[in-house]
Amino acid sequence: MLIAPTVLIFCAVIVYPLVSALYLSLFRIFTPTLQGSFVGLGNYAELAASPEFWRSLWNTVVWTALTLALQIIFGIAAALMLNQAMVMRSLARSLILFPYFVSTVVAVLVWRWLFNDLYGILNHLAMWTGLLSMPLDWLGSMPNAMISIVLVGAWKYFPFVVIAILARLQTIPESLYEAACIDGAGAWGRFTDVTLPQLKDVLMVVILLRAIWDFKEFDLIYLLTGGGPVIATQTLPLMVYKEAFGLNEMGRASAVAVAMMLVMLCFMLLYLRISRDGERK
Amino acid sequence: MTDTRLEVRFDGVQKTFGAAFAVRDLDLIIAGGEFVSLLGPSGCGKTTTLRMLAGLDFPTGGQISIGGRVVNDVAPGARDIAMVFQSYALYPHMTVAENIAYPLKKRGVAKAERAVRVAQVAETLQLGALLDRKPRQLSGGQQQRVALGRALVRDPRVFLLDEPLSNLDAKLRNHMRAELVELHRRLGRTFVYVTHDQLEAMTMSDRIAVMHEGVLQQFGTPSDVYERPANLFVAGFIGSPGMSLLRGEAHGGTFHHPAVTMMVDAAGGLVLGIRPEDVILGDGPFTARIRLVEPTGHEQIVALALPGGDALTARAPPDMALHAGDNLAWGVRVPRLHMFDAASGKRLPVAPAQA
Amino acid sequence: MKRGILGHIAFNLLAWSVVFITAFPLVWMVITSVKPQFELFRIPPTFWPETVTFEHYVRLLIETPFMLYMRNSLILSTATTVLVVAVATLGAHSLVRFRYRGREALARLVLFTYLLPSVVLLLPLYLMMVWLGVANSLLSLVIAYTTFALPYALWLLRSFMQGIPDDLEAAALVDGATRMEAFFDVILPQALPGIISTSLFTFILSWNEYLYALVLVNTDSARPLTTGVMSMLVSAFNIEWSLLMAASVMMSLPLIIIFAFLQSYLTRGFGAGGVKG
Repeated sequence: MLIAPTVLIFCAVIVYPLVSALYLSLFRIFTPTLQGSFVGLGNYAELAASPEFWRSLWNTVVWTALTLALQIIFGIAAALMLNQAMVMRSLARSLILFPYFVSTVVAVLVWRWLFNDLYGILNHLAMWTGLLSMPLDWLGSMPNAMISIVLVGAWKYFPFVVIAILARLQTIPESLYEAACIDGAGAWGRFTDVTLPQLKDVLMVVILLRAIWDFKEFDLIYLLTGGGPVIATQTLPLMVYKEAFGLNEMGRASAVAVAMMLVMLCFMLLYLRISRDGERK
Repeated sequence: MTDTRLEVRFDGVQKTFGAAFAVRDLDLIIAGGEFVSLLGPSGCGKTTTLRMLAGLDFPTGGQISIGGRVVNDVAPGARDIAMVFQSYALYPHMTVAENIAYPLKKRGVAKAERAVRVAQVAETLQLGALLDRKPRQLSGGQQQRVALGRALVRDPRVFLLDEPLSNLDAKLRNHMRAELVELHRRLGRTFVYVTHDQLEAMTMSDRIAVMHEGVLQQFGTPSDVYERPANLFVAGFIGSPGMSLLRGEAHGGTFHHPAVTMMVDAAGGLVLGIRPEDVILGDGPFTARIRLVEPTGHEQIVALALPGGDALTARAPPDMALHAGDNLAWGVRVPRLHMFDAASGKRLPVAPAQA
Repeated sequence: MKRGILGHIAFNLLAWSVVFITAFPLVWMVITSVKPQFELFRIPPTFWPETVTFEHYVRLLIETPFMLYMRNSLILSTATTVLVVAVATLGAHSLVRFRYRGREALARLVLFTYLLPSVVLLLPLYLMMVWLGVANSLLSLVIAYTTFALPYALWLLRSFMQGIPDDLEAAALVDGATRMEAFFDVILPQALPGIISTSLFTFILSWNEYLYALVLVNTDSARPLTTGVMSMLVSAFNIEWSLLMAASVMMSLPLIIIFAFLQSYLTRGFGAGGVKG
């Protein structure tokens, strides 16, 4: 049975962690020793009453919404651009894809260097062009920190959108555009009436995937701001990490993780419902 | 004298998918060296039957034998068969030569001998110049010949062909039909040929197995199947343009239909079958109105509307003056009429006579 | 949509500006890494380096555990890729080829793993590694990375495998091949582009992974580049930007190499399989 090892790994990868997380969330566990006591739904009660939890949830939603929007907009724009004939197009494509494939660590290091208040080139460019009169603290104060991580997130992940959209764009038959031209559609008209409908399917999937992954994002935010200033950019994944390994509360961390999954599930179901209704029309 | 080593038998073979029957109660004996077509519309079970013979699907009941040996549990590669697929299924990453050599390789034939046998087959099928090419560099007809070559090289007992000509254009198809028949004659092996095209079946086969919804309708020579169709399905399926079927009632020795009356020694619901070439236009006891005339060059196909609403198709010589909307008389060549029981669809061995 | 020659030039300028802006951070990274120390901290900063030096690279390799981390990453990523692709190829073939109960459920389950936040998978994994006694080792990372890379690899390979006609395997069987022979002679060569794409993705995924390495390993001997570089160079008071930039460039080298030579495989990977509903 060729499928056996895969099935085994699946049980390990999905069933076991899911069940573990649910199970652990009912306890209060001290991470280093893994000793704990049963508290039932006590962890969840604490979370519901904890302003930090709600703030983290809010941060996660804001971060996801903003960076997703930018990823989609930049992604579609870049894909449209790369779909046209241009000088050294394949080189351009490779360069556009780079941010996605570079390690998050590298991306964070580079951007922290760019954001640096003393030596960072962004501040200098902004001041040189007159946009700013004083160097900006990109990562250490709000709302700058949120804006900064949203921007870096957009930069890092928009190529994913580009790849998917570009692949789809290339399959749209030229004859559709020609028909639209004959019918009198201008450039914007062709975009809304030919391109967008064709992209709809891929776009729905891409938005869903990116939303899920952005919601889950840990590395980028943790390494850029650590959740700071204080907890201003702390998202739920960061809170899980902090609870588990910073505060040594494995049980509470599991509860946050479970809560996070529930939120994601709700949004996903909502999204699927909306897209299915949209299709039925 | 047929060679029993090449005989193919289906005994009570059955194939179900869940609750649905794909093939039901198939009893079929294909004599050694025969060219038999499995003919029928999509979904009739012909491809499933072929795949079971190949060993790619397993019967849920019954036995399949090749050369007297039951092969239900025998792997496809060990059944001494070769198969030509509708899509040709050439291995895209191998050259033509490697494709043809593959079955030999799997049998452990030495490299030198492989080269010799491949060269022989290539010469027979005129593939010599293409041996180093990859399948994607070949035309449809060339690919088909390579698929044939891969089957030929093994000299199997039975050749299985799954609609091999359906992807070719009309002219090439005609040419390949003749080639295949010639090949069969030369090799003397058993050919089992699946097709939905009744013309192919009629022109190529020694016998035809007509199938419908998983059940064998009739197994006979082309002339059997054409002249004496066993039931309504076969009658309607074989022949182009199809047989006209007129449903009526018979009692007191007479068959009654709004357009046609005949004497017949039967009773109950009956269906009268008339082939287009057996209709005599312009002279006869019945009347009809011409709906449509389709000239094909060497004849005219006439669609007639009968009193009572049924349709009748007839063939007419190209110079006959026929116009849509005309009324005309018509008759039939009585000895060539067909009669079927309306309820069961089965052929009735009765001879209608002119009223 | 014809454009005059001027429109053409304008478009190219615009397009390449966009490309440049996107690539700028990485370009800046390279430039910074070859600037001598004193020029690095000049205010206002210079764009082109006045002198090009490789002193930071040398320091990186000699004075820091960078090479150790690099070695770890290479072993780790290669092992994970080999393991994942081998299992996923067989699994994808089985998913596509055979009809058995629960096949659709399994396929959907694959997608479901992407919904789980990595932290959720992480906690029990951490416990499991401790229990298995392999905590703090490269092996634990290989196991861990396999668990999250496998579903994705499976998904990708499944799309590729679905594009291989069933008839090919059937023809091989009739020609006398066993199931295994048919798989190796016919299916595998057809799936090769898919296997290459998937291998590259898996390698990059493992190479870039941070969180799992952070939690599961905290000794230098098993640390990969991601956590190694971060721990080594970033401290509260003294950030060694020169070394950091050099390290960043070095860390990105395998990716640049892969990219340069196999670009067509990567785009084919995403286009064909990545984003199917």
